[in-house]
Amino acid sequence: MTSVNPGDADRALVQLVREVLPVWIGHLASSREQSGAAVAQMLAAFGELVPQLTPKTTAAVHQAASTDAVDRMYQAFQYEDRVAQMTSLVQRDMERMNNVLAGLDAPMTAQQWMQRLQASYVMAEQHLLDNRAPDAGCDETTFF
Amino acid sequence: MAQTILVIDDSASLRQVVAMALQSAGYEVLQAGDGQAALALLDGRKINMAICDVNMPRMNGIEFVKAAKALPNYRFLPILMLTTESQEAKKEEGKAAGAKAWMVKPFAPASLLNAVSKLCLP
Repeated sequence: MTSVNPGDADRALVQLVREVLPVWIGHLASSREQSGAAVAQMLAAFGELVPQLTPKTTAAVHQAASTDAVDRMYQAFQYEDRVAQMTSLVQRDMERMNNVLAGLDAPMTAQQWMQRLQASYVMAEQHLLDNRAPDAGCDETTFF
Repeated sequence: MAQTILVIDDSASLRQVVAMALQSAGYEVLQAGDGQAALALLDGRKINMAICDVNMPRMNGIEFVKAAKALPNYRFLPILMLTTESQEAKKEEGKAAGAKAWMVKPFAPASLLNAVSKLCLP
């Protein structure tokens, strides 16, 4: 059995991560691009359907149900934007990690890294992932 | 004549969703992908209200509000910030810049139209 020098193992691991990270980054970017294109197509089709989904001549009860369904679709379409923001943030962080591994940026501790990452969070879900209490205010309109 | 609303967001799909909701209520919509592109549309034309994202490339939403408020023709333009940002500190920044309201995405069309009806200039 061949023994592996710890220094060699570290270098091999760094090399592995440096080669794999750009592939992950590419997959993330490609997924975001494809989902964006798919949602754009769905929105275009939805735009054509909306007038037929809410005909002025149908019974009131049908109109209410249609309006509710249309409203829920409007809200569902907005999740593509949220997912795109989350994956963009992860992608940028992976690029930073690759720069550190390549010696382009100075290394930092895990705590420093997490503090910087958490400072870039904008959504309540992102704070919740790290078990940090998000600021209140979701789904509300604040008038100044 | 229909009221015109300027929608500013770097997400094309989000702009489309907002535009569809507004157009279904009879508003006319102008679109811009960031603050800088939106500023170029403030060229003297009548705009009754702006709906603006916060995090955008080139010029973010807070910078746009400050720049728009510095233009004599648009200093009274009501601006609603529509964003995924829900942090109080950011809201305060928006308020200090001159925004009139802050709404967190995802929005319900009825909530958006309600806010627009309150803020939109005649």
